[in-house]
Amino acid sequence: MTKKRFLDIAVPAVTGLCVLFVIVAIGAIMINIIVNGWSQISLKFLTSAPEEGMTAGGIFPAIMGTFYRTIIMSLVGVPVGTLTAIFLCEYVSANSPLLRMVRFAVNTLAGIPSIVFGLFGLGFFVQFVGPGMDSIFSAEGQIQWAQPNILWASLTMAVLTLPVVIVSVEESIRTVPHDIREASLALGATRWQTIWRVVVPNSITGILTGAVLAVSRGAGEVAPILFTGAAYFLPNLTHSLSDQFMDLGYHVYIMSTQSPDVDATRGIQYGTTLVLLCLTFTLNAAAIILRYRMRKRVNA
Amino acid sequence: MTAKHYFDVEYEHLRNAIVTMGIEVEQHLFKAIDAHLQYNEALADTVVSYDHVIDKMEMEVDDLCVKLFAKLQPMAFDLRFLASVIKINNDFERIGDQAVSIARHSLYLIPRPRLSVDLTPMTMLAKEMVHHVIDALVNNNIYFAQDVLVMEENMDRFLMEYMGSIEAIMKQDPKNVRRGINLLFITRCLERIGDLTTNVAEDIVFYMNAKDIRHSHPEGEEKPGSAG
Amino acid sequence: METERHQIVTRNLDFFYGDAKVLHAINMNIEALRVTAFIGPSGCGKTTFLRCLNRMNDLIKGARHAGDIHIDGKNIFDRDVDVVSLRKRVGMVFQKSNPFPKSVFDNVAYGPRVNGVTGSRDVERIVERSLNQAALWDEVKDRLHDSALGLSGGQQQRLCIARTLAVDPEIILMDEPASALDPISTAKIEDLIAELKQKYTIIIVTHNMQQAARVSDYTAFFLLGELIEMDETQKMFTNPSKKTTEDYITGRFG
Repeated sequence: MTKKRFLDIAVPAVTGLCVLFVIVAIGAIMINIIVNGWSQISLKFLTSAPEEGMTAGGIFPAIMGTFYRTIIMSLVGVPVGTLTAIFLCEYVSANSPLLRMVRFAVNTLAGIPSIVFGLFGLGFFVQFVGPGMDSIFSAEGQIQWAQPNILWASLTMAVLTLPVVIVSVEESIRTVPHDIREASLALGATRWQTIWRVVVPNSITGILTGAVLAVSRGAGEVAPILFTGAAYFLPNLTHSLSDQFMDLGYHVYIMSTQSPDVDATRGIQYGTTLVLLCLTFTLNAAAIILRYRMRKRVNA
Repeated sequence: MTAKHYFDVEYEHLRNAIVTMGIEVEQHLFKAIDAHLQYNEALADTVVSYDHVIDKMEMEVDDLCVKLFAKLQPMAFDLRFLASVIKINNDFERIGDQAVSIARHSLYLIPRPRLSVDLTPMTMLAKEMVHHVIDALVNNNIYFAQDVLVMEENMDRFLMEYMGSIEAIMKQDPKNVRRGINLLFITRCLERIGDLTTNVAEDIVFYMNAKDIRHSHPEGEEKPGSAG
Repeated sequence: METERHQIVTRNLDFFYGDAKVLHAINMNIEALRVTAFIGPSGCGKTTFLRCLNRMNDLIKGARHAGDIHIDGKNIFDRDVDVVSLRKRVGMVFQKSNPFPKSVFDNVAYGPRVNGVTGSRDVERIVERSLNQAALWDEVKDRLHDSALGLSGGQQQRLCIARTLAVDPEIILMDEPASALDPISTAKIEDLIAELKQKYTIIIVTHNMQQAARVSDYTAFFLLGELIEMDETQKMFTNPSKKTTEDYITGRFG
């Protein structure tokens, strides 16, 4: 048997094994969570607050907290990331030092461990921006913003997801055909009109891809919100941006590490994990469907 | 024109066809003239019966021109050349017709006594003009072509002279009238051949120089200027 | 400088991409309400020159020019010339039809809208007029709100022409507008050009010599960034004055 023939058989075999490994690993996790978590899911579990030191009751505040912070994160991260990408693509020449600097920063940002973002959020938002806002908006001596809350946690999360959004939108803008930009300019459109009416609508799928990726990345993260807004336990729901919030991921973490009786919370842990999984999946699916619809409308 | 292109072969082919046609017509005319001058009935018969060969050649050349127009969509020189060939072809065919006419009128004259009119000088000139114009065509030579334009003037003069002398002969004796008329027709044919040859010469100048010199011969052009 | 008859006059126009000089001292006078064709082999500079006329080349990094282009007596490179309004006056149709991925209606309405026409009645009127001018109205009037990308190639190109007409230009530049089309669509575009020259000055770049001969009143022959010869089309194609031109148009080039 020649070496070539051998490789022809060996390469598919090895790669196939790797695929099998991935499937088994994901399958095992999913099955484990679904089997153990399914029995926990009930209307009460989904709609009531934790009781008796989190060994009973539901996880409603954590669901809402996670939902809110993901939405706020997207509302901030996606537009900022999109505008940054537009700036980089449309207004900066391809080999300018500024573009290289920003791109380097974005890439570095993408590689930073998420706990560092949490510390950054604490240092920057909670301890720097917060007191500043308090001195302007709050009554004398009252602390409203200079403490962890859902806004700071969401903003921290937005910063974390920026690189993902920027890269995905940039790629998408670069695929907008040059000839339709020219067509727009040749009709007497200004640069901004061209971007707003031609480039952005045609990269809408990329922008939404960025949003999908940001949600996927952000929804499950716990580290960045540890110090910036997540609460151990709250009897009430979050009502304002300056409130703390409960979070599904954080909730699992607390129950499995901080609970006085870890074994008693095990069922709830599985249930919570399943809900987190479903929530992430739903947000993802929503974004994907939206993207699909948009693409169909654009390419119709 | 550095490289030889596939279509140059086609134009060359067309040029050969029109030149062959010209030479054929020239032979045809020479035979008709000889038949007349020598009162050779057999030769005159040949000329009359040979006419369809010329007609066939004319159709072939025309066909080739149309095909090349369609295939090559000529521009510039090629365009002028192709358009001119169509006209030259037509003129050659009509020269052939005139040759047949000469032979026909000669066939009337040959069995009858000769009148004392010798067309030799006029036929010489017609022969020379046709020969000249074919030379011009073969060599793309506008000077030969322009010579033909000058000769045409002499042709007109010959016609006037012969008309006078033939008229005088007819006046001498009414029996001469029929033969006189036939002779007149022959001179008229020769004059027509001069005109047609001139047309060919003009077409050659057109495709070579892109100048349309019809109705404005050098002499004609200079007259208004020199008159002033 | 005969600015009376000549709507576009270029004087010693040089053009560079970086260090490469692609146009050499082009002097050209273009008449109003006539079709002028640019011919020449690929890379001869005809498209670059065309794109100078509405300053489309401004978009290219490292491109620069020397010399003047006067349109209606005004140098378009002057500092006080607004390139946006220049492009409104000098419309452009591209080689590859490039409709926006929008509806037929929105494609044509795009120009008027970005130029500040807001009333929906006005926009509708302009769209209908432009589609009529581009001989497309009857074919698309029942699907104005379908995507323009669903039209055939020839219809798309006529849509692009309608889109250009909608901003009411004086001059229309066409960069090989029929090079990607079948003969029937090409014939329709050519008919359209013949129709449009009554109201617009048209400049067309083409590789198709027969097309240039058919549609244009004047023809300019470019070679290696130089304007070799420009004359009445009929003269250019029957008796060009330069041997290079003759070699090119008879296909004996090189």
